[in-house]
Amino acid sequence: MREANPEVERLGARVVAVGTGAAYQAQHLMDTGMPFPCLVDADARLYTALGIGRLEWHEWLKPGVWRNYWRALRRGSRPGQVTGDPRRLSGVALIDPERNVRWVHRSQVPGDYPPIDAVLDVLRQTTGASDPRD
Amino acid sequence: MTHARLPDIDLQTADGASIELGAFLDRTLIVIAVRYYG
Repeated sequence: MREANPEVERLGARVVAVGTGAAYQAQHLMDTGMPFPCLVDADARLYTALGIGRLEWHEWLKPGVWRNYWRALRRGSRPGQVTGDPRRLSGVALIDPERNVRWVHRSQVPGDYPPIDAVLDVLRQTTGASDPRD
Repeated sequence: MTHARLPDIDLQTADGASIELGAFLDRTLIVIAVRYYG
């Protein structure tokens, strides 16, 4: 998403990251180049409001869980200390200034994020902007 | 498609300060809910 941040800003929007982990981890992300605020939702109130759930224990057996971990490892990602809720799933949401949730992607397994282009398409539909590639 | 209207929600900044979600809603907001590692 960091690569798409200039386009997000061109469309008049902004990005924040939210995690249930520790504040020092959010600070580390920002210190290492994340170009938007990284926030902490320790009690998962925003996650709950967005309907982003938790991975049930038996769901660790889903092939997609291990496929995404393997893909992340191949990209060079090395998970460090897990803080917060390790079973909390991820997601992406688009919220308008009136606080309406206009779109939300709720992951089914860890690492299940929508393609950036899909997020930008929804943002363009919401803001009425055109795709610069058109 | 509009799913729901959010209440204001208290979050925490990376330096430990409290901040409300509404502080970022002067424009359309993309929230990426992630796992923090490291």
